[in-house]
Parts: sequence; structure tokens; C-alpha cells
Amino acid sequence: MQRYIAIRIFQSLITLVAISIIVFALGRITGNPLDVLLPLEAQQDDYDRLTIVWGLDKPLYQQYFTFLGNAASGNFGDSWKWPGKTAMELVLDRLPNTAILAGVALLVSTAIALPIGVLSAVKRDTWVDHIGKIIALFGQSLPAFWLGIILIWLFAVKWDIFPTSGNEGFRSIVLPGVAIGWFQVAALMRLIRSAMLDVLDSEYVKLARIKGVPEWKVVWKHCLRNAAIAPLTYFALILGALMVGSVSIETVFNWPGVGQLAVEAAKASDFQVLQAIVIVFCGIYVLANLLVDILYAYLDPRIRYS
Amino acid sequence: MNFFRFLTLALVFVMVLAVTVSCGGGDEDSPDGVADATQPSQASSSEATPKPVTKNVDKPKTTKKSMGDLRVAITALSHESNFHWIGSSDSLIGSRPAAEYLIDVDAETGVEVPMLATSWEMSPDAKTWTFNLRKDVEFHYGYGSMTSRDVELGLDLLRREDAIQTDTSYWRGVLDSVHLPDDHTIELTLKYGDPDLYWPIAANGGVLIPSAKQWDGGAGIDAFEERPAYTGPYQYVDRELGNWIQFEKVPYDHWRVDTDFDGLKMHLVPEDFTRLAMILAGEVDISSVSKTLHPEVKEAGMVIIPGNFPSISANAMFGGQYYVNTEALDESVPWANLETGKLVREAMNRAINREEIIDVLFKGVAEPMPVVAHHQTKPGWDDRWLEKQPSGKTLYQERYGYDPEKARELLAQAGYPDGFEMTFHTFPQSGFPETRDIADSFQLYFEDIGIKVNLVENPTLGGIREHYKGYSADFMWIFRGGARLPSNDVRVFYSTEGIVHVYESDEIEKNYGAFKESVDPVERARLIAAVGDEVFEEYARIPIAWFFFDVAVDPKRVAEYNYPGTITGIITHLDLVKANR
Repeated sequence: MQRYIAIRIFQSLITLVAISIIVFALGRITGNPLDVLLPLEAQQDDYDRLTIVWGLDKPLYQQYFTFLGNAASGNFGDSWKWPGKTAMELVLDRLPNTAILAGVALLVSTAIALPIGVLSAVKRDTWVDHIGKIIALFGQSLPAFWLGIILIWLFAVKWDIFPTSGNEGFRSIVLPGVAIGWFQVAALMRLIRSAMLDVLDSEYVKLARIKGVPEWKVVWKHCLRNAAIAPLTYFALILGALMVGSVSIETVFNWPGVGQLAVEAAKASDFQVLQAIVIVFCGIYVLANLLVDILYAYLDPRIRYS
Repeated sequence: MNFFRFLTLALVFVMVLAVTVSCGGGDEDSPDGVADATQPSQASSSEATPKPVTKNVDKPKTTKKSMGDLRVAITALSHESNFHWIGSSDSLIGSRPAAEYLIDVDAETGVEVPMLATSWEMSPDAKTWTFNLRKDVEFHYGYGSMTSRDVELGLDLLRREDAIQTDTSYWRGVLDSVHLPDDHTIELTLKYGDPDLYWPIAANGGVLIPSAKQWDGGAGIDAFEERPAYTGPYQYVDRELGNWIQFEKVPYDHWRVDTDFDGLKMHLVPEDFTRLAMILAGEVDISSVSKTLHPEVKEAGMVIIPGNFPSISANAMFGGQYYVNTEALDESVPWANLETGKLVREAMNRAINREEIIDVLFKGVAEPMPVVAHHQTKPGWDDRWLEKQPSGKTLYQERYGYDPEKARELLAQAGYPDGFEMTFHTFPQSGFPETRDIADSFQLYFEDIGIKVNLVENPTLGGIREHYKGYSADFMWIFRGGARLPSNDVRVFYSTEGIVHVYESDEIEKNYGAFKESVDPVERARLIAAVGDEVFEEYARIPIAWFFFDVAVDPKRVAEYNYPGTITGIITHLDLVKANR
């Protein structure tokens, strides 16, 4: 087991280094950030001056190794769009907001998917099952940003129940949480439904019914517990996806998270911030996958490296 | 099984924790109350620097009903920090409410008027400018009275090594030395005579006047970053990057204006729809909303207030007209050919139905623009361009009016009876969401006369910059110009001194060279008009029109808002907003 974990950690580190190369290269391919940041009135000597100030005159490989060396200590350089702030400072400042949004979205996903998944399995092929699938399908089909706009229009402008945007307390997080969370409902609901269907046909469930255990207890206590293994491990992946996939929602709701930071940094060709965001997000994803793999290995002793 | 129970409980705990943390949110703005008090200011690190004044100390008594904060929603800024010298002029909007200038731009007349300077003189050779300063101006947070040293600092900041402000290049190029004869006089010695210096030193430019005491007092740039001290009627409080900037009314009698609101909160909102939703939901009082959403704004009882003067000089540029650097000239580009290029450019100008674009995309609100960046209110204008001709039309209408038949004839005459293929670049431009719609309409108009357009969408201007900088632009692009002096346009787009190289000619080089040498305003205006005339006659660009910037305003909260609309960053003079009491 220790060997398995060590190998997985090593693989994760290699993945992060590879991602850092890709991110660095892609950022440079988009062009010189001075072309975006400098006004039209700038002369050639302004370009020359700032090329030196921002370290863009160094060879690419030197820039990369400087970046890698600094990144290892959490230093991704200073932001160009937000002067006076370091890239990591900006990301860490915004990360809790994105984590909160992801947490609420996960709560929304679970709150909707869990009962629907269970009921769909129990009432298989009935109208309850069909309606559950339709609700889940809507979430996957509706573009999140469009859903966000509709939610703002109805619940903020028309009915004045929630704020339109920003981070002004708990009320502000409800609409963006629903807009992101609904997308995951379909996948979660199907996972729960199929896991429940497997469990509902088990011998011990039949025995429980024969023994007179109330049906609600059979379903919600005995079956759901055993059916929860697959969805629980999926949670880790969803959390990672929710964090990195919040870009459009954070923009629509003006939620001060890392997604919105990424959009603004991309528009300004702020390499430093973009690199920091991608590395941090990749780190979260890699960590989530690592934890899931370790969890699986713990659960199933057959999963090991020989 | 115990493990899974533990895991389930752990996940539920994390989710509950996340929700609990989110329950502690930011401040809620109340439209009828004062925003929550800020934390007491941190004492500065230097004994010599006075302690900043906290919000509620020495507040003047007032019998006026409290209107709370003026809440404004604007689009995201290109740069965002208190370091105003790092960023283009539009990003100055984040500092302008707290700052003042030597010279202001009058909101109603658009004319430069005294502000922190009571008067100014220019030497006959325009190489020395002397500004006399007001003596009754106080800095924020107790940093004392304004002196000439503060103005010197304002100019120094724009010329720092890390400065990339729009006028940084200008100030680095023009300013030779600064002399302070006394505390309220400042003398600027220039490297060359410039009678137009009043323009970039005014509110049009980025010469904000910060407190030298704050800088020189030890804490320097750190103190400035935390809370920049200026002289405006609002003082900076705090910001959440990418989200909002908070200002508060100064706690003393300001020398110039007693603002109607207790503070100002600028919300930075990149999404147009969200800015609309905010004003409809009553969360902001003024919102920058694109024209396509104006029907929804008006239906909800809001008012659209345009700037008093046009601010957007929308146009399309022909790349490749390198008639000075002829080594770079590619005559296979239809509009750049020395023999037939002018015919092609005229054809392409006549293919555009400007009235239709103005009516459909801008609801009919525009002013004619015969030559890009030239306006009746600025030096370099020639009345001839809008002079009525015997036909009843203006010269501009006669030469540039929509006439697809004539356009096809001209193309045939130029050797393109079946048209040709070309590339047209577009990219998002601040304050001009109609860019893509205009590009789409150009594509349709050109295709109507046989020109097949390959429309390329770029994420930023950077996508084409290396081409026009490097004399290799064989395409067209849409551009949203501002309301700067036409001579600036000449320098940037037509002279070899600039980096855009849209249209260059020996005649323009001669005229612009003479312009730089001359200090006679009349002669300078004539020379710039001559450049404009050449551009007009040669169809060197496709002018569309002058457009007005506008904002949506909630009349329940705002009774009056007057602003020129020409200052980059657009939403200015917020200290003059009149509340609806």
C-alpha cells in the first residue's frame, strides 16, 4: 500500500511539471503581453524599457526555469494587470470564494440528486422515475451561464429575493450555487440510481423486508448506505470540477472567485496570474484524483502496483 | 462500514462549514443609509507623517437628508490598482473620484477650465509653462495643503520606469525639467515647444496630483498603495480587486464641491447583462449599459443620459498603406496599390451605409465624422468637410455617401470587376460592445459589392499589434478611437513616429514635422487640418461616426448628472451628481 501511494504521488508531481510546461508555453504563444497592455501612444522605447522591467528580454528557457524555481516556493511573480500584487496573493485571496461556491454547488447537487436518484430507483420506470430523469437532464442541457442569467432575472430583478451579483453574504451565493450545481445533478442522480438498483435486488434487502423492517428504513438506511460508495468517491472529482468550472458563472454573477480572476487575467495576457491559477487548479484536481485513487486502493486490496 | 460513516460525516461537516463561512458576508449597501463604517485607519510608520483621519471625525454638521453612497456599475478595468501610472487612461476611472487636476474639463462646455491651477502662462516659444496653484486645497487623511512639490510628484509618477500610462510616452518625450520657484508656482521646461500641453495636463490626461508628504514621509509607495491621498471631494477607502472600489465624502469642507452623496461605490462588473440587472434591481444608481439593452432600461423607468460631447470616433482602418517605408509596401493588397488603391478605398467607403449602422446599432444618436478624430471643437478642423454643396449634400456626404452601384463601378475601374478576398479583424474594445456588430455589417456591405470577407475575431488588440507595428498589416480592422486631440491621432496613426502606420505619406511627414516645429496655434491647426484633408481626399480610413457614451441612471436616486463624456474612462465628474431628495 505504501508503495502504491508513493508511486501515485510521484506520478502526480510529474503531471504538475508537465502542466507547468504546457501552461508556460501556451501563455507565451498567445503573444507579447506588452501588445495588450501598452496603449497605442506607446513608442518603441516604451516597449524596450518595459521588456527589461518585466523580464521579457530573457531567453524563454531562462524565463521558464526562473518561473519553475520560483513556483516551487509559491512565487509566481507579480501581476501585470493588478500592479502591486503577486500572482499567488491574488489567487489565494480568491480561492476561498471559489471553494465556498463549489461547496454550495455540491450541496445543491447532492440535495437534488440524492432524493431523485433514490426515488427513481425505488419507483423505477414509473412517472416518478421519468420526471426525475427530466429534471436531471435539464440541468445538463441548460448552459450554466444562461441559467444564471434567468435566475438573476427572476429571483433578483423580478422578485427581489436574492441579490443580482457580488459577494454580499449568504444570500449572494444561492443563485450562483444553483446555477453551477444543477449541471452535476444528472451525473450524480444516475450514479445513485444505478447503485441503488444494484442494492435493491440484494438478498439482505429481501431478508429485511421479510423480517418486517419498514420500507423507508430499508431504502434510506440499509440500501442507501451500501449504494453510497460510488457516489461518495465521485464527490471528490465533482468538487474539483466545480472549482475549475465556475468561470462563466463567476463572470455572470460577478462572484470574486478564481474563475473571474482567470478571465480578467486572460484578457490582459497576465501570464503570471494565469500560470498561478492553472497550477493551483491543476494541483487541486491532481490532489483530488490522488485521494480518490488512495481511497479505492484502501477499499479494494486488488488495486495495487505489483 | 465505520470508515464510510466517518467519510460521510466528514463530507457533511465540510459542506456545513462552507455554508457557515459563507454566512459571514461582506457589507450590505443600503440605498437609504450610510455604508458601514470603515475600520479605523492604520497609523503610518513614520513619525513625520500625520496620522490619517478616520471617517467620522470632524464631520461637518449638515441638515441635508443622507443619501448614502452613490453606487455606480462600470465594466472591468484594463488595469486595477492604486498605482494610476500603470494602466491606460480608462483605468484611471478607479482613481478619478478622489483626484483632481491642474485643469479640469467643464462638464457642460467641454472647455478646459482652471481647477487646482488658478492660471497658467506659456512662453512665446511654448517651451516653458508656468502654473499658479490654489492655496486653499487640502489633501486627504490630514496630509496638509497642496504645494508645487505635489504637482512635481504627479509628473514624476507618470515617468517612472514601470509607468505605462497612456501619456507616459508623451511626458517622457516632452518634459525636460521642473522648477519650483515657490510653494504655489511650478515651471515646466520642455524639450520642444508644445502649445498643446494644456490638454494632456488637464483632466483629459493622467496627471493626477498626489500628496508628496505621503510619499516623502517614509511609508512612500506602501502608504500610497494602501490609501492614496489626493485632493478630491471623495477620498479612497478600500477596494476588493475585480469587484468594487469604495470612496467616502471627505470629513471637512471641500474647497470646490459639497457632494450630495455620503460616499461612492464603484462596482466593477464585466458582464453587460449583470450591470443591467443591478440597476433594475435598485442595487446601483448609475450603470454603464450597452445600447442594445436600452429598451429594457427605459421600460423599467430608468433614464439614459449621454455625455455632452461625442467620445467614440468609430472607424475602420486599412492596413498596409506604407507610402514612406515603401520597402514594406505590398501592392498586391488592393487598397494599398499606388495606382488603383485610392479607387478601391473610395469604393469600400461608399459601400458602407453609415446611416443604417447609426440607426440600427446606435438608435440614431451620432454625429458625422468626415475625418477620424477631427471635430469642430478641436484644432485641426476644416469646415469644408461638412460644407453644403450645390447638390444639397455636404462634401462628406457627396464623397463618402452610401452608393453600392458607384462602389462596384470603382472596383471595376480598379481592375476588380469580380471583387477580391480580404481579411477583417475584430477584437473586444472597452466601452464599445458594438464592435462585432459593426464588423458583421461591414462584412455584409462589402460582400454586396463583391468583396469576400474573412472575419477574424481576436481576443485582444494584441492579436494584430505585431503586424501593424511591424509594417505587415495586409488586413482591415475596426477601431474605437477616443476624443483626443487630432494631432495625437496624426502622430499615432499617420506619422512614422507612431507605431500603427495606418497611412503614411511624404506630405504628412512634412506637415507633421512642421507642426512639431511651430508654436503658433493657428499655424498648427492649419497643418493638422491639412493632414486631415489628405486623409479625407485619399479615403485613407473608413470613418463611421462620432458616437456618444451614455449611462443608465435611476431617477429615483439621481436628479441630475452632467459629464462631458470625452475624458477617457468616460464616467467622470461623479462628484457633481445631484441626488433626488
